[in-house]
Amino acid sequence: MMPKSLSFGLVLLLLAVVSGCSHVHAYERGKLAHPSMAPASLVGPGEEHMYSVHEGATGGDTAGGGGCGCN
Amino acid sequence: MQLTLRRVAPALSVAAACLVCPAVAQAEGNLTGRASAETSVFQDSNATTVFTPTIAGGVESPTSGWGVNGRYLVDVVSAASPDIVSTASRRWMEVRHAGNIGARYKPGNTGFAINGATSYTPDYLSLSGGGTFTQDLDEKNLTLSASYGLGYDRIGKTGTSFSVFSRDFVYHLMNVGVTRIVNPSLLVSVGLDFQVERGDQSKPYRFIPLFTAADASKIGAGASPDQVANLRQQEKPLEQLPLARERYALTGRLAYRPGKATLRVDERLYADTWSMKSTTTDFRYLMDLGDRITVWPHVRFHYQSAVSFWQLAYVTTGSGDIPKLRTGDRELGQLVNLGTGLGLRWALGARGKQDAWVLSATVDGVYTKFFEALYVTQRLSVLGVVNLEATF
Repeated sequence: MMPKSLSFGLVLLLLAVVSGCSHVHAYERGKLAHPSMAPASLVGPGEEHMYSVHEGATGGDTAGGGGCGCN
Repeated sequence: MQLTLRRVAPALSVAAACLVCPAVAQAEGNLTGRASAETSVFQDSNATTVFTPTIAGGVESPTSGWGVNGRYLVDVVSAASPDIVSTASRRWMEVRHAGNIGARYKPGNTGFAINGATSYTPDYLSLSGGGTFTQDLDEKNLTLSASYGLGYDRIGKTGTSFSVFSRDFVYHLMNVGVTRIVNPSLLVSVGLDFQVERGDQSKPYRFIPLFTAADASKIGAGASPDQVANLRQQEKPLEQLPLARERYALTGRLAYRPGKATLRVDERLYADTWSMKSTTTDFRYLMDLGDRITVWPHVRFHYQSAVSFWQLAYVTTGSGDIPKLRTGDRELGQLVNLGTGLGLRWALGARGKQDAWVLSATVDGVYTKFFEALYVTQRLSVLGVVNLEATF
């Protein structure tokens, strides 16, 4: 079973994500298309490998797309 | 099967071509090819050095929504840590080969991606594969994703074939995520990872010193190899970890770009069935200096508690009385990491095509404090990475 603290945190974060958002049209996404706004992690393979060795935890690459509105 | 091969073969051909000659993509007109070469060097205060050259490539069709990519790297590891010295062993060197390939197809609001990876050293073979499903909603203001991965590791010993000695380790990775555009400057993601591990992942080289109850009380954090050798019992069993583990991670990511700079903050909360809990926070502030150069400072904080069976000094009463679970892996103990670094991205292409050539470099240092471990109480690590990417 998932720990209760994580379940609570998940609900809170989901509520935060889906509430208070404005609808952003494609022509308003110039800033979102910037490489630094990529939904995926910016951590490179070398850095990622270092953290996987130095930290007992795992996981964290959360995003699967979205952002600039392109494919 | 024949049909599957027919479908897959063109994608594999393109992947191979993009790795060898990215110019192929240019000839197609509406395709984009990428090729990159990267070199990283890692050094820590425990006498471990890792040199890693990497090549990667990919080709994609932005209009059709498909893409393929691949990566190959070699790790050259040299180590003479206190753990190795304490077993009266000399510095060792090892070479690891690792590669992965991936393909994705997202013609509209729905997308699929598959990937496979392998890693090999003479005493460790790792194979994994997985797939991701994504669905855009609300005119791409909201993206849902779900992924599954399966990994299989074969753990052996150097100089001994896998058929003589090996242990199998299997893991399943599941992830669900939500990415939401909050406003034209703000993007937020939330993800939940669930990992199931089965098998014996104990290190076949890691021996655990045992002590009488009286001597164990004399062992403090950072006890030297000589001190441990003088007080330990003759019996020195191998590490033994539990054979099952479930791991949970909840991650939130925020990317905010009000002007010419982007703030990125990642937070991960983690817990597992070995009773480890951790929090990891990562900040990056990427600043544009003109239209070619971006620089960023980076700060990362990680704290974790120890697993339930962690002990600084394991106690025995003698005559084969060995603690059932035992480890000397400091990354399973209580620790804190404080990392900081700098990054640079320099677009070198001709005017109007600045991103055709991009040089990037990062330097990151991590200070680690081990609260209750033998041999070392702290560690300093430095990682330097240089990457050159060409887009055609």
